[in-house]
Amino acid sequence: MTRIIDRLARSAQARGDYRRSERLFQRALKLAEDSLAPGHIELAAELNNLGVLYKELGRFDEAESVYRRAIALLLASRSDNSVEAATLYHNLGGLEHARGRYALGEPHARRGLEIRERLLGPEHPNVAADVAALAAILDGQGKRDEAEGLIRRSLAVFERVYGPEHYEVAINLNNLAALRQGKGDDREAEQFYRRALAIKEKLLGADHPDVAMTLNNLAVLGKAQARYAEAEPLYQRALAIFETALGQSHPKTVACGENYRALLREMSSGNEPPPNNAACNRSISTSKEQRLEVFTMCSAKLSRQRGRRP
Amino acid sequence: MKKLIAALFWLGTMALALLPVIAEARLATNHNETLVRNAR
Repeated sequence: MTRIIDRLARSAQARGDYRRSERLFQRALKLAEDSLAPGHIELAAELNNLGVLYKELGRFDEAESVYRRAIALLLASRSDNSVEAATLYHNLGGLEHARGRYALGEPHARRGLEIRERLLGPEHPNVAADVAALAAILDGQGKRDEAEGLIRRSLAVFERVYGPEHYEVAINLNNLAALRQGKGDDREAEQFYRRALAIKEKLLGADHPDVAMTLNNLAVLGKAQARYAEAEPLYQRALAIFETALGQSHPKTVACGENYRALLREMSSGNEPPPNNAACNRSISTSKEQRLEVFTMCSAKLSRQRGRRP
Repeated sequence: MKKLIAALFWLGTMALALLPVIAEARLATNHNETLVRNAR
């Protein structure tokens, strides 16, 4: 029964129905806690899966808490060398990636990859997922050459195993585009973004937060090329999706709002944009007050355009 | 008789469909997708 509820919860999560997903995960966890021995793998699985959802919702401390509980349970009942342990290390690395603490995430990501590669071999798609996750963490630290080699390696595995229109392919194309954009190759970046966007829209629908990620990135690229008229509606669409699906205070909504504000400033001042976008950075942090101000400004503009009061 | 066969067929199909769900406790993996921010 726990596994059926878990499956329903993951399905709701994939659709972007986070409220229902959380409710179901918590129900599955309660069932597992009430009916299983403390060291049972299913209990660790439910804690882990709830952690993945919390991370997606930007509730990082709660995610860390359940991941830590899961790994403690797992290590108490079986060895460190299991695919389950590899997944938990992968996810702990992913949590630090989401927090922007890339250096802290790297050892977890490397540990997860090392364990799973030893158990499953280098060509397994789950190993490719570890490789892709590590690549994103390295990219975040500016280790772009190593990151690019790893992304291309994982992309090749995913395309061979799943075909050219799979979710994993779309995520990797988005990340490869961001990396190429960071290296100043705008043409290739745009091609990869557009491919990623087409796959995501087809698989997830037009209003999924993962679609908004690529819309935001395309808008950043457009702004850097002074294609403001193209960038603005992309930001507006991305912000509307993030706001509806994740809420105004989610880190992705805030980051997208900050990006949109930078575009509005550029447009209103008539400033020339930088000659290229090689300086894209991923480590901006601002005060809470600044974030609120950004969001108020962007939301007001969006509301006006939707024909309602801000 | 036909109803019984149909019911058995339906139950068998459901069992087959649910087998992967029941057979494994799956730990989900997250994705580290890049959200690009503007340079300042």
